[in-house]
Amino acid sequence: MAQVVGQQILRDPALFYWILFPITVVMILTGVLRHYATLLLQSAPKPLDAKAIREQKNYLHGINLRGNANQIPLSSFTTRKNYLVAAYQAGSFLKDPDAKNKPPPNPMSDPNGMDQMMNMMKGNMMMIVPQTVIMGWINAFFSGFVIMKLPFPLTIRFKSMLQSGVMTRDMDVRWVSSLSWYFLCLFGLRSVFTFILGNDNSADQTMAQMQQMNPQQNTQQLFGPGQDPAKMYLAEAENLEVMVQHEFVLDGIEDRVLATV
Amino acid sequence: MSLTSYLSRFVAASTHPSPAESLSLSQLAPSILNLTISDTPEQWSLYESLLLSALRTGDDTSARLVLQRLSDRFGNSNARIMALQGMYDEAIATNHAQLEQVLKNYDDVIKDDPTNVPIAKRRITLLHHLNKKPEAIAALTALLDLNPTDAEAWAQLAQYYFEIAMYSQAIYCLEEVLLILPNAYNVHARLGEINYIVADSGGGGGKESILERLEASLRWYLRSVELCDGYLRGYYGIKMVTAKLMQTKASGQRTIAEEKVNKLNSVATVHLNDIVSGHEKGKKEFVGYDSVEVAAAKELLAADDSST
Amino acid sequence: MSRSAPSKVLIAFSSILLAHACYSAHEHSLLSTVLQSATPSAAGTPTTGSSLPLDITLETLVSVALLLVGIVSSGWELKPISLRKYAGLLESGQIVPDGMDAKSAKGKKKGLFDGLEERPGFLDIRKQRKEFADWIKQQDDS
Repeated sequence: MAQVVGQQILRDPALFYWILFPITVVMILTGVLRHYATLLLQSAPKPLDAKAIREQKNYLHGINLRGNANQIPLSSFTTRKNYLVAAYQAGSFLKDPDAKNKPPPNPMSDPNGMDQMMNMMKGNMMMIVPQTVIMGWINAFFSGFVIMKLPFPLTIRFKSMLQSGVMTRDMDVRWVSSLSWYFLCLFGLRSVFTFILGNDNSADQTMAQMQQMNPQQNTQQLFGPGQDPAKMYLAEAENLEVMVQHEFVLDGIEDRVLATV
Repeated sequence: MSLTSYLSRFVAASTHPSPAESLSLSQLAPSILNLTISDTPEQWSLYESLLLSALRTGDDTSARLVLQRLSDRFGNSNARIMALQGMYDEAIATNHAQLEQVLKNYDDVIKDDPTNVPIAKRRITLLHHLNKKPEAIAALTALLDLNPTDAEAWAQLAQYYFEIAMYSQAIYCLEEVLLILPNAYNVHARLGEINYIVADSGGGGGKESILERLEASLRWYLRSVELCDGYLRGYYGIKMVTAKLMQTKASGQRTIAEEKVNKLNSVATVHLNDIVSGHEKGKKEFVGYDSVEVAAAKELLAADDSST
Repeated sequence: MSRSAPSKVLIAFSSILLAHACYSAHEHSLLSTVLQSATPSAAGTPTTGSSLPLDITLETLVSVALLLVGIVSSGWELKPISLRKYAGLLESGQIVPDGMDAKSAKGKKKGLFDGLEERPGFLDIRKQRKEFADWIKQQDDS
């Protein structure tokens, strides 16, 4: 085992104070800033209007009936089934009954879909803009610096990761360039943020609180954009119609109770 | 005391506490209000319960303060805050005209935003309180048309129908609750009770119908016991219905054989005896039962003893 | 969390065994490096790590196995998973739902579906207020 004497490079300690340290601090600060900017930009999901709620909840009603049909007597079940199947087929719960035979609307033109996309755009912009700016800043000022040495050996594979911006073939992989330090910070600071920003979800926490304060206004969409509620209602009506088997849970309950209690 | 211990005291009390309980909860108000505001979900739910108990006991100044803090945090347009505000207005109203004014406010809010469920529920409650029962039922059915998966609303509608003796409608509503929460054993017991009451009040014609009702009632009670081991209300019902069934010398077709009814009766008696004697001796396994319910069970057992 | 005495003993014993195994392994590696540096002729063969004596390996495995058995069999009370049992315990007040301590809930049962009967959304505050006022009046009279 030939003992390789590590490459010795003399580094100016100023490199530490003026490059390594600033990059790290800037990365952390941008992370915090991005967090709060995201919070500010986040728009609360728009509550559904009455008709949309009615459309969704009545659909759920059918699913509930199908799932728990055995809990109620056969006659009660049949009454409900007949009512729901008729209503579903007539489309009386639809948001706009006239749109029944029209093709499904283009998801791009759906205002709700646009809202979602806008939110996604905002989130992406919050990621991309600061990253490009900082990377430009590092490239402009610090490209080509070797700023630190890792305390452990690495295989050659890591060379491209740790020494981007420094084009030397023979340098030991343990040396890290400034640009690579930026990348390491970018991916490795998550736990630091969790530490600083309180579990990284002080944003989520406020949202959860607001939700707790009004649990009734559920804004989640049962029908995704592009799905046609009319078709789903028809399918559900068919599901209900073909349900012929009905075993009432109370049948034979006296024997079950006598056997177990 | 810390926030969590306050909170668990409030959680332990139901929404319908006894007056003494309300009083002791309400007396916590100054010390809770002196805690630093920590902006955690627990803190705000504690405030909410505190508001209710302050209103219950007529401590309107504390209620005002708590409500103020809640609306400062969540804003006046939050549906839940609006409902709490409405409840405060209802509570401090001194005459009929003021209540009508509150009702009118509710109407305006609902007109603006028909999806404001908390306010809709307040409005229904107030309508019912003002003895406008048909209006309350109509409003509740409208709410259920909007959202037929709200178990609480169905249960409330069942109660309203029950109060005006429209039993089959009440049963329908409770069945809807079961479609949403199939394991709600207290709803099963409630169905048993309503069926029993229907049978007791004549069953809507025919001896056979009464028998059917009684058997249905027994089955619902049995299901509640099957879902919840040692459910006092369920056993009480079983005992009551089986006693009635044994008395009834109906000629109609029985679907539950008489010997099974006898057996079920003795099973229920054994369980009730266990619970009553255990509760009286203060055994650990039985202390949690409601004293009033245990006393009722004891009475039932005593009546049964004297009749045989 | 009540632990039975035999499993406590088992856990203690296996913990000591595991600690001993660790200590032995450490001593062994220390010894081998010292020997290595003392006799440079042996430096050509890498001896670290892989050549742990069989008895230390066995001791480690046995102690871990015993520790697992001890922990598993220590038998703390498991929560009932069937609804029937769980609801029954709740109804008789033997256990309290999460988020409530037993002390403040004493003498109070808390069913799983109490919300359906209490219906907080439809709370009739004026009625409760009146009931309370009546109660106070009654208290004053008596």
